[in-house]
Amino acid sequence: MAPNPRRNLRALGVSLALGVAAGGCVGKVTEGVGPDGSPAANGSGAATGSGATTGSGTGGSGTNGAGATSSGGSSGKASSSSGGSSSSGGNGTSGASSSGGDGTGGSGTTAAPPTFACDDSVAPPAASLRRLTMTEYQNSVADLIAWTLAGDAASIESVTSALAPALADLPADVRQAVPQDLHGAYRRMDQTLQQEHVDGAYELGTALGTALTQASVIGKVVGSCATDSSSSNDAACLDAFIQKFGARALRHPLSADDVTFYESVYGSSTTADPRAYADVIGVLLNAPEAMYFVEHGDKPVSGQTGVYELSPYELASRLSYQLWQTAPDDELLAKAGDASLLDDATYAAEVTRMLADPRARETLGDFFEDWTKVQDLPALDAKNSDPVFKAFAGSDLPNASLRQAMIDDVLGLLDYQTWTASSTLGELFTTELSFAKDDRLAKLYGIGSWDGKSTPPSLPAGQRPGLLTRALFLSTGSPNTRPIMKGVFIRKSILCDELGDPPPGANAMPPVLGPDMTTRESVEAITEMDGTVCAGCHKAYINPLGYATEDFDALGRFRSAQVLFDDQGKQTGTKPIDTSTAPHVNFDDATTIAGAPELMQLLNESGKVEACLARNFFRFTYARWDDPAADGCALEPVRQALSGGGKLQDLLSATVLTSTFRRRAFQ
Amino acid sequence: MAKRVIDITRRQFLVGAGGVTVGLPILPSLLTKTAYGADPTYTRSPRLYWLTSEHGGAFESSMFPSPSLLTQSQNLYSDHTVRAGTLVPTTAGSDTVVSPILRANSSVFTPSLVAKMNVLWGLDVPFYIAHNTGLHLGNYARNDGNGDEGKAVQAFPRPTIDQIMAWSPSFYPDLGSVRERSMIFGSRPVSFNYSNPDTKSGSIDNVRGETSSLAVFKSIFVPASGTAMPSRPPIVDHVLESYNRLRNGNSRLSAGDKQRLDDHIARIAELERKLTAGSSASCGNVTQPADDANEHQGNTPADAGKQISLYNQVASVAFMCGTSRIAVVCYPDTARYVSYGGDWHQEVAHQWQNDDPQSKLVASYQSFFETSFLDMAAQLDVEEAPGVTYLDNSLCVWTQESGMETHGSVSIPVVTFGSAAGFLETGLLCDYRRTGNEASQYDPGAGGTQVLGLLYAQWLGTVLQAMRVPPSEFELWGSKGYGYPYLGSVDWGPPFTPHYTSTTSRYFTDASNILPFLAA
Repeated sequence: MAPNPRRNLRALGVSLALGVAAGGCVGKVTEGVGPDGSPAANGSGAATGSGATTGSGTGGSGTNGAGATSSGGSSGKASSSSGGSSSSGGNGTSGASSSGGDGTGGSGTTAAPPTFACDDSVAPPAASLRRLTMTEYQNSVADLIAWTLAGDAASIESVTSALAPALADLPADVRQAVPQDLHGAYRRMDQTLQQEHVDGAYELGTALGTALTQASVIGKVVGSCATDSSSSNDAACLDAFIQKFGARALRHPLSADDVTFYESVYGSSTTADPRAYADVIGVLLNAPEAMYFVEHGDKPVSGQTGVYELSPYELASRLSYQLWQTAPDDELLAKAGDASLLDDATYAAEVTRMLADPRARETLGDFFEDWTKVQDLPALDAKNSDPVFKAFAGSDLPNASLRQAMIDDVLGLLDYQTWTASSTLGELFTTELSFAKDDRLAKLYGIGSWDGKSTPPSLPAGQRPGLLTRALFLSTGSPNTRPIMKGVFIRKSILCDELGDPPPGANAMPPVLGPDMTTRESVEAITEMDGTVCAGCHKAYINPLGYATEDFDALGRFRSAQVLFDDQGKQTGTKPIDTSTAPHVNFDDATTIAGAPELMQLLNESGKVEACLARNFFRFTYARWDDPAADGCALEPVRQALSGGGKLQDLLSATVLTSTFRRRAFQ
Repeated sequence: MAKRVIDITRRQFLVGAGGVTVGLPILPSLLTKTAYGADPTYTRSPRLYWLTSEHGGAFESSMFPSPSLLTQSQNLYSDHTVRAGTLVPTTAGSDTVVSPILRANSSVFTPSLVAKMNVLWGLDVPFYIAHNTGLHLGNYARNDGNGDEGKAVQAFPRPTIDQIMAWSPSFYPDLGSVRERSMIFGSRPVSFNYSNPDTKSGSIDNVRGETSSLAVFKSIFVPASGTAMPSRPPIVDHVLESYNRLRNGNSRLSAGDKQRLDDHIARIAELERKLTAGSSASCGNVTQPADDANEHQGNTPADAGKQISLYNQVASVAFMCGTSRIAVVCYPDTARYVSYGGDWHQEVAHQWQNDDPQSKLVASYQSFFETSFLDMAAQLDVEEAPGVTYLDNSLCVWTQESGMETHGSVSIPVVTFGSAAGFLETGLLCDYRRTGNEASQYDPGAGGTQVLGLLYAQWLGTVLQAMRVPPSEFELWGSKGYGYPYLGSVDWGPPFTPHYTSTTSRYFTDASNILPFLAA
């Protein structure tokens, strides 16, 4: 059977899957908006194209309102930015180009800032009441149970088992889609309030109240005063319980008004009533101070209107959830109680203590998991019955567990380099250690598996250095690699550059490809033809980053040639792999490299990775997207900590030691 | 939340669309069908069921019935004639065939069901919206921002029509029996509402769906014996008070803090309502399903069909119990319906022009129609009142993300069952395209010429009114219909501007009118 010329195309995964892969490459025109936010009729729009890197275009402004502003092309072909579709607005001027590029430009392809300016007079955006993630909430409940039952393992097990159905009904945290990352950013950014959050917490609170007031444990929970025969001590018993349990559940001492309120929840019963105690517990678990980071601030920050230092208890909570994803422990609460936590030296000592706790390691692991988007790896065994995939995989046909093995490999690398090897950020791009514990994955690497304890084995020298050459970043679940997807990931997640929007109908009629083309050749044919709208972004800024690792196939195996197959999986030939490319890690750097090792070196030396990692960790920390202009005081210290040989661990400490972390804006 | 006792003493069965007898929790009194000669009298409030699927890409010749059925015409405007005709199925072997995709086994796809069906051709979203999940129910802002037009519309989010209904006093004049205002099944972001739906304030957020059919069942089920009253009143009042104390206290709060507290307070109020709801409802001897949709994730048509069928069962039960009247099933691509193991988006949907991908698209949609959409219609087509079935009192809708051109939005396929309690005519193929006018025609490169017609926003407005929600409750921005009124002008293909002219044209200003031919 003759090779199917469509075969390679179908497997390429080109075009628009990420919504960012193809360059719009023109200035933008948007419909105008009336003063009241209503859409203007056609003809009242305005357009402004501002070339992000080298070009700019300026349009007219409508008379009925301000039109939206959009970014223009990287080579300045703001072809549509000539006044928009306005009949009443003024006429814009076409974009001015300062460099020609490929004649097509890019739409909003923007280089990330390598450093950040910290201006202490600039207040950060006002915060909104941040909800604990469900992970944080569940951890807090678990710790509260353990504290309440004073470590009695049997009772803890009993209570926890009783809560299992309610815990299962809590909604899961999801990687929140945001306009800047529609395919999901960080689970901590999952800040929507669903009805299920409220319903689930109510169910959990009620269940916990019931479980902690069973006859077998209520004496431990409330004290003997709740079970003795005397009624004379019942009022004091209730008061003491509310103050003690409440302070732990709400992470701060209760005011007299608070105590009165929770006494009203208990009701008018004059005897120790387990059901009434259960109600108090249930309400406490649902209180805003239990479900949110309730912060009122303490002293105003000089020179920043509307910005306040956090109170000691607020700071304790913020620090504990940042480092441990749970409520403060006794020691931290004590430092809040005597306000010593506000002392810089004491605070730094607490940070050091908490970073030594395994929970800090788990927290950073959660960050790494979302940053590297490991869960986006598709199922690897879905095509095992496909003749082409079978022929491609050969003896390495994936099983169901290979996907998780690849995830564990990457997370294992990050964990080891951070905590065991105390590596620098740069060493993430040079390490040649393998963390593949799975035999199948280790075989793909051509080495033996790691036992998880001894020094990890080394990969073949000079072949696969750094994080981004690991199978997880190369595998596709199909016979073909996806250079575009690899490039987009590096450009956005590792370098924080912004890519332009794909133009409408970018692949309305895909070109016919030859049966003897490599993946790279096919991608070049589809996206890099001179004069097309795609080339401006793909040719310089997207595809080359993916070409550099084309000497690894779609299972992550090293190769020097690409084997070509027909539709039935019959080998039709081989072609040499070409990994030479100019990746433009910095947009104005046209350095040509030979392949992956040099790409890792360029990334390492670019200075952009530190800045990008700082920005990503900001998103994780503050549960919102960063604004490099307004958040410089939070970003720059972290970037600096990672630069010049700083340790990966410093991500955590540098973040919480910033003044920004200890403040809150209210305006 | 109190755990509910589930009556498992009886179990009833119903024949599903696939011809397979499935264990189904259903009221025994609903199992008989009776023929009545007289016109039915509709006394019940309508229910809405909406099934969404991603992509599109099926040639119109496969999706829509033959234009030869179009025997009626109406001059909507002097230069725009719309047409309609009675759906007349053919048979092929054991199948009833309305179109290559709208085809199913005759034992289920009966002439009676065909007569309760509508197929709508020529409904457009007139700009480049590309990858989206917001088109189906009217939040056009939920698109990936591919292209300037989609990105511009992102600035104008609004609730989806299912949530407009869920919080409408016209749709739910009495919430006494309603446990869930709406049931959202699946994980795709299709349904949206304000963060505070009660006051219609705050951000527009995705109303997340539930993938477990059992979880939704538990939330809508009311046992026959009722739930014993607790010895102490629920604590929800105290929880509410704890938020009011903070919200209305003297402590420093940002505006965002206050909005969040208001949002939470509204959710507590809804929780409180739900805790006491259901006293006027009864699910009789309905039994808890033994199976859960989450157990059917396999890459086979059988698993895919079973997953949706389990959602359908729960939605049917809720409709019959009266504990909810809105169900949305948010389904991703239809790859599982043909056991496709690769990247459906890239390798099939984006290659819709080519023969092999096209055949996969058509096969998957046919299976989706038969085992999932028709399944719901069949489940509901049991008698509720003399001469009237639950299906008659419902509106079941299937929409796709795109038209014939993947990521294009010309002629979004709309297929329905049910008359929405007598509001809609049924049994029709409606063709709203302005055929015969070159200014409205477009060649997408394969599958033949496409022709622009009427606004999809008008369909959404028709649905809202069929659900008894008046325009005064849904019109926004001074515009008619539903969805952000935007007209694309980028020259990439469909002649949106030549056809629709402007956002003040007749197409936009008439978008709250009931679509031609559909008013009963």
